[in-house]
Amino acid sequence: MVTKASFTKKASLVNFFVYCTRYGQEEGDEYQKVLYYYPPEASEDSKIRTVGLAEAVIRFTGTFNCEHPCEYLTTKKTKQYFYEPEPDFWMAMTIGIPVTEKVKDGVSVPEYCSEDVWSNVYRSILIQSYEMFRFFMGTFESVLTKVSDDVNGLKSRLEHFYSKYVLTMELEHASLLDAIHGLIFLPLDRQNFLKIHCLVNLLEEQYPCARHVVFLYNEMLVWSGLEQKDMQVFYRYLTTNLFPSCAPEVMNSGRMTPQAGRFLLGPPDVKEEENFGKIPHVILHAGPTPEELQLVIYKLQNACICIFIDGTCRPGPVCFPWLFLWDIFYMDNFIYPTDTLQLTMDFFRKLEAFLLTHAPPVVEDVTTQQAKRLHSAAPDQHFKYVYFNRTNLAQKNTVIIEPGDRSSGGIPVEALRLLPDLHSDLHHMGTRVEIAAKMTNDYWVVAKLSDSREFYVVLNQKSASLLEITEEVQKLCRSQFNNIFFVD
Amino acid sequence: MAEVTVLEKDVNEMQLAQDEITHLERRWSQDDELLHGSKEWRDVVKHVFILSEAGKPIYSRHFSEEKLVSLFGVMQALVSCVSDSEDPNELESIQAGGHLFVFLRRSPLILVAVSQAGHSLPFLCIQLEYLYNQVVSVLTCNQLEGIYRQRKNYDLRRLLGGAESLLNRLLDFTDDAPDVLLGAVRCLKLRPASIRDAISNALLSHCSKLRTLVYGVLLAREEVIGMVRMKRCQLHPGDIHLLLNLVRSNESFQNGESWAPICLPHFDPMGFLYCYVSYLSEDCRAILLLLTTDRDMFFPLSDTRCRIVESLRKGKYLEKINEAMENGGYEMKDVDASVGGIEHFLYKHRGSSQYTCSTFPQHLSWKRIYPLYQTLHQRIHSPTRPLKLLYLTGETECILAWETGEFEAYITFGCLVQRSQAIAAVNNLLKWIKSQESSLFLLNLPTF
Repeated sequence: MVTKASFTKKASLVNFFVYCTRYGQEEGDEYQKVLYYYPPEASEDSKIRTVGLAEAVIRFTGTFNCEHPCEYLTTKKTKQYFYEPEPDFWMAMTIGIPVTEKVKDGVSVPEYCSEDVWSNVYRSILIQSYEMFRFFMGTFESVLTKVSDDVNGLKSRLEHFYSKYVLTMELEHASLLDAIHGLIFLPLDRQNFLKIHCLVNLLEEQYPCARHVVFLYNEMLVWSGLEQKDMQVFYRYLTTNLFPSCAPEVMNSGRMTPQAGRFLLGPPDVKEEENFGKIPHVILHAGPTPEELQLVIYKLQNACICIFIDGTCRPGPVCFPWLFLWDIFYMDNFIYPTDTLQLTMDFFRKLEAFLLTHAPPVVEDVTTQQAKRLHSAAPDQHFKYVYFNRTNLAQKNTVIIEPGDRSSGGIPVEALRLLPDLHSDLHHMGTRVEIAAKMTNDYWVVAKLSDSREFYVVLNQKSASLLEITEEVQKLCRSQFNNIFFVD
Repeated sequence: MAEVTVLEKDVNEMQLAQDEITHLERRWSQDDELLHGSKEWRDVVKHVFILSEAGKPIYSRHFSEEKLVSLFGVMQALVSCVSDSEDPNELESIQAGGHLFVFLRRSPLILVAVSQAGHSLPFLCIQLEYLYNQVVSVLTCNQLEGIYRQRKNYDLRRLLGGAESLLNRLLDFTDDAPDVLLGAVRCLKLRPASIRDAISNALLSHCSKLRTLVYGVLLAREEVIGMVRMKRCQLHPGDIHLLLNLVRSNESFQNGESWAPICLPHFDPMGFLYCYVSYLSEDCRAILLLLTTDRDMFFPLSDTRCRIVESLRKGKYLEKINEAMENGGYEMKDVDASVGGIEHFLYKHRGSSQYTCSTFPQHLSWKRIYPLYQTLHQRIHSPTRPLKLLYLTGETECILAWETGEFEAYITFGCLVQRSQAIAAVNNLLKWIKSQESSLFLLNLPTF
């Protein structure tokens, strides 16, 4: 008699480290190559051992002339992912495989579910962790060359960044969405879209230091002046870090009136002369050369206006090129009270005044349109889907992935866990592939890849045949994506 | 205090292992730079290695072990480094682009496959398991474990001398034949089905007279013609594959009767059976295997063969067997007119662990389709989220994978097939198989 329980131990972070093969080549000096290591309480010996094993594995696979470097290593209890973001710099992340207790003949035996640690999902999480660092701090190499303090400067920045970052990775809730890493766009009619476009243009014209502007509504993207690659990282920062941490504040602050806005990043109150709040530096990498800018975000009702400001450029003809030489530029990424010489309180007062003059009517129009749209949306659908277009990174989904093992929105959790498997199969099998799968609980899952478009749907139509499901999916594509061409 | 000392010792040992890997890797990259930089090394589709837990080379599928001594050392060190950490663990696999490295530890051996053939991880694990069973079938677990208990550094090649061809043939066979993936054997198609019963009866009536006889098996090249067995002694498909491999790898069987000890791991991994092998007769090239627990049975078994041949000759069954062997497999066009659109299929009868398939068509590539079958097989048999059915629409073909309590099937169509047409063809195929069941499968295994 075999009974199956839910996970007794969920996927967890065993370790996470960054090392550089340029250092510690001599015996006894191995500790020098470790630039960052989580958990911090690990002994020096175990750090050196883990990093040494990773190096050995990578060298070993290299002797077989693999066209790609080593991606991951699976053991009975863990899965370790590797990524070489820059020459000689390696990152690795080890995930503890979730465990279920199975009762076999009255004895409880642990069973390791390595299938639930999808390679595509978790490796993507590792790569994103690098991109996020690069977004705020720059490449490892640039930090190393900028800071005269040698490798210790890089180490302290890695420590500063990752000691917080690794705790926010939400590994146990990882899903297909982490593997595709898309952007959710707000569906908007042409007129409202043009109004927002005009607002952004006006802002950029009035403030030439505003190099890029991103406009979001309800956490959905409306307008982005960033390159896609940068937008992807920025969007992830907003949705996984900034928005969740800001939400309760909004609720609690009594001074909020429907008309008023506030800086999420920037001075909490422009009437106070000294407090600039957080104005992080960010580095955009998608263009031909890295671009260092400062990020200010203003929230107005449900809208969010993100402005990437070139701090070295003052509105008007005056320019101070020597300001590139700031020494304290990198000192602490999240506290910039006075280094931003251009960003005076006066600047923020004017910016807020500008936004409060021009933005509210636009935002209100969008709100009205959204209310209508929500009202007319078809309730209670018998299917859940994820759509992704790699060309514009647009992602649309009705799969709400809830924490824990409970079913999500009426969908059994196994169906959701099948999605990353199918994602990986589709990409191995070609560019125009479809897989229709019937699970043992009679749910149907259909995954479709049509060049750059991917579509995953879970259908709750028990006892349906393959032909009925085919028809259903075609109908669904027609109704939900009538202007998108899928190859059948 | 004592505990601290032990810990320190462990750490030191691990540090040693670490240094050893680095050292070995350096040696491997220096000594063998010529080899592993060479085109021959790079182009190998699947490396397979066997080594002892002490890191002694035992077998390498391509390139002599002698040249790879330090590579073997590296593999051993990786395996032991993972398993010796504070929290006992086991190295299973490494993925690097299209290369998949699979490690299987079956104490006292370590088996490693390095594949760029696109084969699935579960499939490669099964393949290594077969390879281990092949070693056991030559030595028995008893002997294998005993040797290493006495001498950790033993060079097993001394004992496995001559078994290399068995290992090579097993890998060649398991690389391509779906038998291993499905865990099933294929039977020679015999029509009408009464022929098979008559053959089984002939085997049974003569075999049952010998008290120490366990199995009697009649084989055509890669297929089973008939099997009889002692009561309560199941013949596992994995063991039949080892018998097929024995016959396949041994030229000497062509020259007359032979007698060899063989261990069948699913029957008894600890001991040998003795196997009498011979062609049925000059005029019938089916191979008879008689397995007994008694090492002095050669002559009685030789007599038994003569009697079996006599009975079969009387009923004119030798000709029937020859005819069936000459006909070989069947193509889709031989099946039925109603299965149009199907290019190829595999069908496993789950109750008997036997399968049947159509001849693979020449215009398709098995090297491409077989990995797809493996991927679908992996999804269908997922331990945490198994599937009942999977329909893949690819760029060059469509494949249906379907499992029920009764059967498991993989069916390939051209890429332009309509789904309704595909479903109709599958239903007709299933009907056809049902109607041919007794000539495609050996459904009642007589016992004595």
